[in-house]
Amino acid sequence: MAISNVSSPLTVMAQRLTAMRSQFDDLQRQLATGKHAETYAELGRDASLTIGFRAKQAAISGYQETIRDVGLRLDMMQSALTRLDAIALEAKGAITAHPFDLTNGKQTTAQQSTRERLEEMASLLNSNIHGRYLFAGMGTDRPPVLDIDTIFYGDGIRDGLQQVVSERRSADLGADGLGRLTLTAAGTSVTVAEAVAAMPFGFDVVGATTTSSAVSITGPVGATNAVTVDFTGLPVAGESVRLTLNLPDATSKDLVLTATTDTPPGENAFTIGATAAATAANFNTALDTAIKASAVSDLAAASSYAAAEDFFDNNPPQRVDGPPFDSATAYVAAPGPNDTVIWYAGEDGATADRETALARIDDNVTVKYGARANETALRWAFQHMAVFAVEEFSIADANAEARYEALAERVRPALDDPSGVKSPRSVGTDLAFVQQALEAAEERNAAGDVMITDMINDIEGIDQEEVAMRMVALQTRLEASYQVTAILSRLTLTNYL
Amino acid sequence: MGLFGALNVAVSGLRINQQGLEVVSGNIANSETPGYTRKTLGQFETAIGGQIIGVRRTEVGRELDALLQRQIRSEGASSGYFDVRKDYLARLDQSLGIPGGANALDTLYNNFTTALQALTTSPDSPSVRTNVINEASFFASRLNTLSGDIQAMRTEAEVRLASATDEVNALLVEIERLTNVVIAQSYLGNPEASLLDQRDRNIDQLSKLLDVQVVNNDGADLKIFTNSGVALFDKTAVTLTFDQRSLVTATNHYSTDPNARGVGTIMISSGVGEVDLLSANYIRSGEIAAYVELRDRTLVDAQAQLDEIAHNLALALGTTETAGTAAAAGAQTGYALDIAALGQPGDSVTLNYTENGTAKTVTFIRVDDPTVLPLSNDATANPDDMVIGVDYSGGAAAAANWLVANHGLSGITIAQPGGAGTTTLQFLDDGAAATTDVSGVAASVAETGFSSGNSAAPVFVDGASNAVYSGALDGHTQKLGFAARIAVNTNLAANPAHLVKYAAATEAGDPTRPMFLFDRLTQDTRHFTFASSISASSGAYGGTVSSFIQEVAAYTGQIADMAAREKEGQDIVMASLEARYSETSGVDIDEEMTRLIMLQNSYAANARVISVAQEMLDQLLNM
Repeated sequence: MAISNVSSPLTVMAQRLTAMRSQFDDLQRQLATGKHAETYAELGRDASLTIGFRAKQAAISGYQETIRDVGLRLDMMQSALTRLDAIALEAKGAITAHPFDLTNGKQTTAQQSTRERLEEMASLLNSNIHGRYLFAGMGTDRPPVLDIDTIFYGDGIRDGLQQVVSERRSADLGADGLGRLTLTAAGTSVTVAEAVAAMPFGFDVVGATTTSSAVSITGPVGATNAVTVDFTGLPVAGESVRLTLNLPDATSKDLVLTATTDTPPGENAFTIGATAAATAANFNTALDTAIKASAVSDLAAASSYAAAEDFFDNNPPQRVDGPPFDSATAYVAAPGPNDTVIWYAGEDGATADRETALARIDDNVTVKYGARANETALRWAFQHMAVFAVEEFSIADANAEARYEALAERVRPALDDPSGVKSPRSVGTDLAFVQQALEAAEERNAAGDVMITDMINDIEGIDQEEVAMRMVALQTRLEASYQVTAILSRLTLTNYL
Repeated sequence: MGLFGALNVAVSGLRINQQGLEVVSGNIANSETPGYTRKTLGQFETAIGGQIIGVRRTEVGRELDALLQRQIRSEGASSGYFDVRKDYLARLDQSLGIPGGANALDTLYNNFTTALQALTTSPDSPSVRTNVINEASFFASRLNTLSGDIQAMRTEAEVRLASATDEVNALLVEIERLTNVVIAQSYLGNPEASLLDQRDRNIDQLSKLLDVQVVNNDGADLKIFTNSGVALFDKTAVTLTFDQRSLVTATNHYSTDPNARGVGTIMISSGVGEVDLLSANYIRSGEIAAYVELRDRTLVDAQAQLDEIAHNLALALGTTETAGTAAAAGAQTGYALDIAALGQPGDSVTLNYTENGTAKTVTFIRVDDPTVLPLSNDATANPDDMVIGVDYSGGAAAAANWLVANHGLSGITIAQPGGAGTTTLQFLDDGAAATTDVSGVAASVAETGFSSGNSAAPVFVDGASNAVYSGALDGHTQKLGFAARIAVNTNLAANPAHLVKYAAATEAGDPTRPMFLFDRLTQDTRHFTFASSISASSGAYGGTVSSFIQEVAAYTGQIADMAAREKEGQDIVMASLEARYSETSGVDIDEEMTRLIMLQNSYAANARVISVAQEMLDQLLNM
């Protein structure tokens, strides 16, 4: 049966009642849900506003989560850095306090405690949160620092620090123990020169001076930096010749030989002979002794630190081209990755250290908070302590104490860099700025979130009082309409016939 | 005039009272019948030579305001139109989800970007990576579902059109039958009012389906036209046909060309041949117009907007822009680029230059199907660029040769420094004349894998078989219906590490790719085509992918809101018209009751006359 679109009068009335009734239901829903719209259409023109606000809100909550995550990481990094700094200072104190006493036959207690501290440093550098390693650059999926045993002694296939140090020492000292120098006496002159030109190993001759007018010095000249000490006459007792040598760790050593009339001349002295030629011969002998003595102490210690630099600052580590090592003149041109253990297993690319971890904390603010265990600030103390701890001595070795002293002398300043550039503090400072930025962004975001929530509530939310009032008003109208409808429907002539 | 005369008059009075009662009872019984018009019985006296000899009835008449009826019919068509529109748009709006609800399109998108944001902070975390993939899948499948909903609604509109066409035919046949009866009766006198009522009801119903004009409505014979002038009924009813398609998908569209048409159309057979009623907007209102509008415009727009979202999402994450290198030839300077890098149809090269100080942009797009050439400037969403399609069906070398000879840009030279057949092209200005100046050339290439070393990644692909989405313009364009096919690359789902590893040796904690993906969605400004056949905001839209999605959700809400308001307004118009109609044509019980009393009194009076006449006759006879 076809339904006409022209309705009967009753349906018009019924329509109005249903409309009111559904309005009432809608108000009831609003009161229950606290929202005046269930679809974008009901929001009308405000829809685009709230959608925009919601997107912003979602972004803010994302940023806040990031700030929480990164904040946690930074806290952990800061506490690790603080402890790293403290460990270096503790180690410095321990190294100062203890005398040369090989308590276990090959190492001092200071060395043994340094080794313990290294273990702690390694574990701090391997700090991780939920498996994310904080000091591994972008290689956050693996611990950046190997265990100390492997670093020191290798893993059976690849060599460790000890082997690298020992090879380097051979190369620096040379077979004759002269620190890769040559000493030639000819008539009245003695010439000191580097054995091979521009070689990375052994002493470097920097220059020589004298207080005596009977001694003339030429050089350094030539590729081998030859310095010739020529006795033109006889020096007076007390006059001296000073030879300055550079060591592989960029420190220098002065050898001062004083003329004396004593025979034997004693340490760092030479006997004035009858002739200039005899004096030159005595000088040659004294110089030979002095160089050899310096080689086993200062050069050996410096060699160890140079070896540490080779080992810790290169990936893969540099190795002396040998065997034989004591006559080696260069590094291995292309060290293979399987020759030496690589102490730092984290990522080591061209990206700047801080830029290895980024976090967007605001629409326009990106913070950089990455760190690598092998950046100078974190490596410096570790590397020096490692050299100190890896060295072994023998009671039988007469030069052991001198070498130990030379080692300790070098490790102490490295553990407390006053400029801070080579201390974990410098990383801590960088990260503190990031933490400040995080705090500022967090506050800004929180304020923005509150504002946006308010705005969304203003648009989508309801005013409870208003809705309640409207419900009451509508209820009155609805009841009145029901009554009137009822009265009207009774009010027909039919009832009165 | 004697006693018998009085008796006869009284009897005719009784008869007419009975007939009046019949009409009143009919009115009362039908007081609630929709479309029933109040009937009245006319009467007049019969007299001979000035002498009243009785009363006679006239035909039963209808109380009808013809103008009002016409108005109701035309508004009825609008009502039908707005009803349907409101229903469908409300459904579309609802499918977008509750604002801020877990399933709302913008919420899902926000979840995706938030997950990516978390990935920039923790690129190494497997759970964060998996979360990105999950959120991407949710968003993609939401787009798929929405697309499915839209196409289901189009299919439904197609089905409704078929049934509406059947209904129109049935109504026209019925109108023809009734008209024939009415015409036959009109030869004998006035036709029966109830037949006219019935015919009117059929026309009313017809007017709800499509907008009609009725000529000579009051007469026995009438003609029905659409407002656009197509005759639907003139003596005989026409037959409409609808070639319904069982399934409507995003690629099926209406076209005036029967071969290209993928949906059904309403054909009318007339003497001069068949006319496609949808070809020139012949049906302007009513439910049919609403279904056509939904099927061919509104829902197609909605699909196009989703496609645009999917298109830009895939391209934003998956294309790498490579700038050309500076190049010069003599005094001419510009940039060089290897166009063999355009690996997929849809990949493009953008040339920016100034000519007499005016900035110009030309986009060269790789096309593998030469039948779509030449491309219109609307092929890209950028409203200010000129588009040149380059045929790659013969390979990059042939394309390069073609471009050198046929680019047709004044003041620009495209040169092959390596000679004909080489693909590295120089895009150069006019040198010493200095009217043009090339400011940049960049290739935009869709990534096909994850480890190319580029930050862009094909996170979203076309369909389950991981086909690369490059926005190809070949055939019916890859964008068409992409929202229904967009999916997360299964290679990525199988190995979420690809979200971070842009090359074989990329570190797990490298934030480069996550940062790039996140920025592409939230910061990168892109051009969008905003498909809308009813809004002023139609056309090009510039913004981030995020803001475009917001815009689409808001727009859908707004058109649904608009449709709801229009319907509300129309309801009010209809209600007031109906109220007036029921006043003039409806049955008022009180009035009928009063008439009943009058009839009763009159009947009693007439009966009294008869009984008095009887008594008088008796007295006469008993004398």
